[in-house]
Amino acid sequence: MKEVDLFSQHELASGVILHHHRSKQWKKESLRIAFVGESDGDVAERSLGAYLFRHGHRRRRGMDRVSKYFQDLYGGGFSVRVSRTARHHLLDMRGMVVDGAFLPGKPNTFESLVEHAGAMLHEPWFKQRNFERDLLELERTNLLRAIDGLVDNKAQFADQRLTEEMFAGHPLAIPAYGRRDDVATAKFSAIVEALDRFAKEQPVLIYYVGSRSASAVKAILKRHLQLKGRSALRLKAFKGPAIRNRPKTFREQQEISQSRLAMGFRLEGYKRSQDLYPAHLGDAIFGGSSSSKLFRDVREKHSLAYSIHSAFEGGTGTLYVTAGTDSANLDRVTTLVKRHLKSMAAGKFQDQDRATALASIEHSLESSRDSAESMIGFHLGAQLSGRKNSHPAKVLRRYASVKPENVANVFERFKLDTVFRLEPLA
Amino acid sequence: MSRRKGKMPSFQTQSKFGDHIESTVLDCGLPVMVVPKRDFRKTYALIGVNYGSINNHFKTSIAKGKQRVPDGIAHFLEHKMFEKKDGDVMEKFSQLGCSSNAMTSFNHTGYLFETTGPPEVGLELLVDFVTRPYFTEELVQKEKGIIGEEIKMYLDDPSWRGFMGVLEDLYPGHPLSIDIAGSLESIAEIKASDLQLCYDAFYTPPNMHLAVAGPIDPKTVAEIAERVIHRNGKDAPVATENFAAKVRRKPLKRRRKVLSPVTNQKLYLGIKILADELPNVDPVDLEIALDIFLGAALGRSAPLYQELFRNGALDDSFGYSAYSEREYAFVMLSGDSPDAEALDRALCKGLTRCLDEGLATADLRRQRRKSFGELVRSYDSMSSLCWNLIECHAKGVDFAAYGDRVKALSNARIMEIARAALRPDRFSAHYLIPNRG
Repeated sequence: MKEVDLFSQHELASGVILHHHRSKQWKKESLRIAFVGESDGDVAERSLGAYLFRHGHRRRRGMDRVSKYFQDLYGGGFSVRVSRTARHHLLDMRGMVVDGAFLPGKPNTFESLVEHAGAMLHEPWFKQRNFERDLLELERTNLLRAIDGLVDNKAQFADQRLTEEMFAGHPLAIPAYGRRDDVATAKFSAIVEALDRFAKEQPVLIYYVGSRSASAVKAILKRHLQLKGRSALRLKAFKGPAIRNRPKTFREQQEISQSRLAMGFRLEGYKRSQDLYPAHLGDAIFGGSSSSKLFRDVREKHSLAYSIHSAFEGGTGTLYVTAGTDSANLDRVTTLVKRHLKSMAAGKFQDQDRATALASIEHSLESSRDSAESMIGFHLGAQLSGRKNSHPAKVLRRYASVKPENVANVFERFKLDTVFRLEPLA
Repeated sequence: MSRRKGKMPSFQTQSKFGDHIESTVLDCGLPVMVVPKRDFRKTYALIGVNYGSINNHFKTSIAKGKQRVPDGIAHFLEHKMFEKKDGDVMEKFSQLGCSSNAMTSFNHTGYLFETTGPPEVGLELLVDFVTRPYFTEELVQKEKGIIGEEIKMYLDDPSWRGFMGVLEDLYPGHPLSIDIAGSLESIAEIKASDLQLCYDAFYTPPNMHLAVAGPIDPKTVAEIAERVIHRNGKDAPVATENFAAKVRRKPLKRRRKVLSPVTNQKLYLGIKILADELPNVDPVDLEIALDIFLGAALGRSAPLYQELFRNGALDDSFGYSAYSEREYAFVMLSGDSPDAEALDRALCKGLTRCLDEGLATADLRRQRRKSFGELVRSYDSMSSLCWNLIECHAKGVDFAAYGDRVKALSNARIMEIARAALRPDRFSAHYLIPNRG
C-alpha cells in the first residue's frame, strides 16, 4: 500500500496550515482548529476564555441559541477547550457534523459548522458591548468547582499530585486549566486580551477529515474563517527540572477505601530521537497493556490490584506507573514495580513479550485510522513534537526496528523521581 | 445430534445509510448480526449474554429447585471466563494483536475483541472462550482479591455511590438495588460450582447474540460461530426462568441526605418507570421518547436548564440518562450544585411543568433531528454499531428500524409516553453532602 502522508498540507496564510484528509469512509465531517502557544503565561485566562466562547457570537448570542443551532444541524457539535503538551498550550476548536449526504434534503452541514466557527473567532459575544459580564463570574465559579471536584476522582487526583510535585516550578506543574488562584482572580480585560493575542498571533493547525476535496474545504474556510498570517510553528526543546538524586516519597490521607499509588520515573539523558520508540515499546512490555509484566504479575498472579498500568510520556521522557491497592499492600506493589523495572533494564523479557507489544502497538496505530478524531490527534501530536514519521506504517517500522538491548538501555536510565501515596485516614 | 452439514444459514439484508445489516439465526439458536465495513481497518466483535447482576434468583431445567446465588456472581463469572486450563485468554488475544475486554451490567454481559489484522482467528477465540468455561476453586479464590479491589475502587467513586444510592431507594429488596459486582462479603461465598450452575443456566446460544462489524464476510462469521459452538457442545437446549423480585410502586424514600467525602454537593435524582403503566410501549420507543423529551426539557437549549445555569444552581456536571430495558426502566438526573436539595426541588417542579404544559413543537422537532443525527453517526463506530445491534435485539427490536421509529414517534405520542412514564410519586433523590464541616 502506498504510504503517502495521511493528510495533505495546504498553507492558507503564513503560519496557518490546513491538513486535509479525504475519505468517504465516514458519515460525518470533522474540523479541528488548534491555536498553538507557549505552555506558560496566560493559562488561566485562556482557560476561562474557552468557557466564554460557548456563549456564542454577535448574531447567535447565548448558549441556548448555539445549542439549538447545532440541534438543527442534526446534532452536530462545536466546543472550545484548552489542553497542554510538554511544550505547548493549545486552544482548540473542535467541530463535527453529520455529512449532509446522509440527511434528508442533503443540507450543507459543514459550511454551517465553519460559518459558526468563523463567527466565534471574529465576533464572539464576549467581545461585544452588550455581553453580560455576570456570565464570566458564572463560568469562573463553574471552573473553580470543576478544579475543586478533581479530588473526587482518586486516580486522576493522584496523577495530578504526582505531576505537580515532580515538575514543581516548571509550567508542566500548572494544570491545563491554570492555577486555582489565577482562575479566581483573572480579569475580564486580561482574558479578552489573551484570547485576542492567541487567535491573532499564534500558529494555527487546521484539520479536516471527511468526504470533501481540499479545494472545496479551502473555499469554505476562505469564506468564513479568514485567518491572517502569523509566525510559523516553533518547536522548543523541553527543559524540565533536574532529576532528583534521591526519590521523593510524599503521602496524603483521605477518607477512602483503597489506596492509590503513583510513581514517576524520569529518563536520564533523554534524547527523543533515539529513545522514544524503545521507551514506548518497553512500556508496552512493562505495564502499558493487559498482557504486560505488571498486569500479569501484580494483578493476575498476586491479586494485589484491579487496576495497574504504566504510560510513557514522550514529551518529557517520563514513565508513570499508577495502581489502586489495599493500603496493606502498598509497599509490596511498590517493590514489585521496582523489581520489574530492574528486570527490564537487565533485558529480562522474552521475544514473545516483544512480539505481543509490537502487535498491540500495531493495532493501536492501525485502528486510529478508523477514527477521524484519533487520526487528527495522532498527526497533530507528530507536528507538535517534530516527529517526521506521520504515517502509521512508517511509525510501526520504527518500533519494529527497536532491538531488545535498546529497550534495556532505556530502562536502565529510568530513575525513580517521585512517589505519591494516597492513603486512607488512620 | 444430527447436523445439516454444509448448509449455511441465509441472511436477511437491510440497508441503512449506505451500510448493510446482515442478520440470521444459527441452527444452535444463536442470533448473528454482521455489518460488513470494507473501508474500515478494524473488526469489532461482541457476544452479548442476556444475563446480568439482577439474575440472581432462578429456576433451571438443569438443576432441582429454586436457585439463589451470591450477589455479584454474573460479574465474577465474566472475570473467570478469561481463564482456561491452557492459560489466560486475554494474553492470547494480545499475542494475536487483538485487544479484548468484557463488561457486566444489571441485565447483560458482553465479551468483545477488536483487531486490525485478519479477524477470523480472533473470532474463533472469542466464540470458543465464551462457550467453553473452566472453573476451579483455586482460580475462584485468586480472583476474589482482584474483584475485591475493584469493589473498593467503586466505593471511592462518588458518582457510582450516588447512582446506587438512588436505586436502593427506588428498588428496595430488588436486585437492582445491589451493586453489580456484589460486596466483599457476597463474593467471599462464591464457589466454582455456583459459577458452573449460572453458566449452564444462562450461557445458551438462544440467550446470547453475536454482532460483528468490520471488513469481514457475514458467512465467515456464521461458519466460525456454528462450528465452534457445536465443537464445544453448547447446542443442547436449557430452560431457565428468572424469579422477578417484586417492585414497590413507590420509592422507599423521597429524598435522602448522605454525608460523604466529596468536595461539592451532588444530586442524584431517579425516576422509576413501571411497565404496567405504559401499555403498548416497547423499550425502544420508550428510550426514544424519553431521549427526545428529556433533551427538550433539560438539555442546554431548554429554558429550565438556562434558568438553573444562570442562577448557578447547576453546572457542566449536570446530565441525564434514560435506562429502558426489558426488565426495568428508570431515568437518572445528576449533577453538582451549591444546594443539591434546592436543585432537586427546582428540577422536579420544572419537569412537572413541562409534563403538564407540554413542550414547544419546535423544541421536540430539534431534539428529534439530533437523535436522528446521532444514529447516523453511530454507524461510523464499530463498537457503537455492535452494542446497538445487540441491545436492540435483546429488547426484541430490529436496530435497522431505529431511524424510522425516531421519525415515526409524533410529538403528541412523545408527550403521552413521557406523561405516563415520569410520575411525580416515582421520584427519589439522593444528596451527597461534603462531610467536612
